[in-house]
Amino acid sequence: MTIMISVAGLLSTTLVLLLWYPKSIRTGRLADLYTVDSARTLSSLDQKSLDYKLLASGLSIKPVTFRLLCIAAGIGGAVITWLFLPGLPAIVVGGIVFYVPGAWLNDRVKSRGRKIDQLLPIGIGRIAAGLLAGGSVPDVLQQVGESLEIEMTNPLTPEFVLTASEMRIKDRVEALRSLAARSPSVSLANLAQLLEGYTEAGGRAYTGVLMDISMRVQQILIARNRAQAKAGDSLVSAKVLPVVLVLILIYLSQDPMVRASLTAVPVQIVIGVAMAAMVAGYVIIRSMIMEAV
Amino acid sequence: MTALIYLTGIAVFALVIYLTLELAPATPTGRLAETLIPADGVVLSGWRKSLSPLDKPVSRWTPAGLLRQTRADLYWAQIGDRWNDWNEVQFTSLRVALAVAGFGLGLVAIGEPVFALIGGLVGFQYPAMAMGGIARRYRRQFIAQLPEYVQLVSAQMSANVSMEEALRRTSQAQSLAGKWMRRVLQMAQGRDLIEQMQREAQEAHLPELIGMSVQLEFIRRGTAQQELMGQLATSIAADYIGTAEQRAEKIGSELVIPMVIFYFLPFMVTLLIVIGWPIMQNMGGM
Repeated sequence: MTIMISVAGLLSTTLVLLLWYPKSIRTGRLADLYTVDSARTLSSLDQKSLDYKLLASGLSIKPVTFRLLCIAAGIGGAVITWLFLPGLPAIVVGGIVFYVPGAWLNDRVKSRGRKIDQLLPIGIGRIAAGLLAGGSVPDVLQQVGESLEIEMTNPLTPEFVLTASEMRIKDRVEALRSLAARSPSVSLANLAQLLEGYTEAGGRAYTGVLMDISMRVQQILIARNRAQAKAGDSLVSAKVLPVVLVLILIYLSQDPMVRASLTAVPVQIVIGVAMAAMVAGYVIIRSMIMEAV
Repeated sequence: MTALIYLTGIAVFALVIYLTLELAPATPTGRLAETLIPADGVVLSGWRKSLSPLDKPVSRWTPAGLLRQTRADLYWAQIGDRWNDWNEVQFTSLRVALAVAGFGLGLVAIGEPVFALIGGLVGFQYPAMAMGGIARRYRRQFIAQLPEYVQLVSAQMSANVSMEEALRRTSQAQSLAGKWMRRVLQMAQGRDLIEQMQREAQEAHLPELIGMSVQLEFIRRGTAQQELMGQLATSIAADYIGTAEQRAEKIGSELVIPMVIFYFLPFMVTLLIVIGWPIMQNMGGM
């Protein structure tokens, strides 16, 4: 009971800190974070810094708050598990819960690039059509960005809109190079280079070529996205098995003898190693799937 | 008697080391050799310096196929800025040293020859697995990014830019293919660019790259370069699309081993020990 009170106190303190910590910019909904301002801020930050990761993942908290939350989550996870399964497994769970937010954050940053890759085939198709119809590159980028925004909030729109506005106020090639440099997706950087070639070639004569190449790039991206989605199906069992194991352990622990065995050191070591192995396995399998195509 | 066996063992070990180090063919010396040896005379330090006595016997006795494979893996690991400055002989020396260390550790810690052999095997395989994993990751990334890169080259050439200039311009791309092209351009100072590309492709041991560099050589000789480049870009894109589908199909079978090691084994062992522990306790108490 005393432990529960301590945990409740710890979590309440973290929550108060999270809510009342002074913020320089108050941002609103998660959807608002995919804005031109955030895209501009991201381009000025180091991609390895926690500031960049938090902004790119759409979290409106400061790095210190995030670290505090990780520690609180780790301690909270360990204490709560300790109530049901005291000993080594609780410490392992604490370690895993401490590690998970960081891994989740890294994944969210990478997923920004993946989301862009998923939308890019549609974007490329519309850009090519817009240019073929005689639009200028900034106008077409602006319109395509806005059209994508109508369907759903996405990270590609602010990149297009920011590039369009930069192209209007400074050198066009410079603006496209800036898009390529800050892009979290290699394909988007390639598109920027393609548009740079289009701008340098003077437009009109190059439109047909751009159309052909855009179609091929579109096909490549569609095939890659489809293959990645197909490969991702294999991850289902990696998510289901740990849940099944926990459910079986809860069911078995209703037996007094099994419950007593859960506190034995060798059993705890095995459970702890199994938990760590499953987390490591998940990370390895996920990276294998992501790198497969 | 036991002391005699140990003495014989030490004497045989010393003889083998002497024969391997002293009687193995020496590195050629003289003016011609100095001319042929690359001028980058890197001063060895750290691990590579400590392992350098092993380099000569390793380069002599290691099968050529293994060295070729290691060279190709090191090439891709170095593209990803890992294992920089290591060559295939030094890396194999490291594997041999770790195998001996693993064998010795197994023998001293457990005293069983089987465990010593397992320790030796782990020591030999671990560096190759670690470096091979990095190489595989970068190789796949490169293969995935190559088709889009070729589209960029094709686009540049369609704007009446020469092939060399198109390759030079597209090397600024932030993709791994762009990085590779920057490396080729750097190595091709004063040499023919396409020939250098072919050399690098052979060193990388990547069929896609070898095929592309050979076709680029044909395109350079041809008259309708833009059309030919367009065709190459189309065929590379089509190949990639087909391969991506195949790899997505295959990934399920590739995941079987990690699934067994990281999920099914821990799952089974956990259940067995949770259920079996009370039984073992009771049997022990009887």
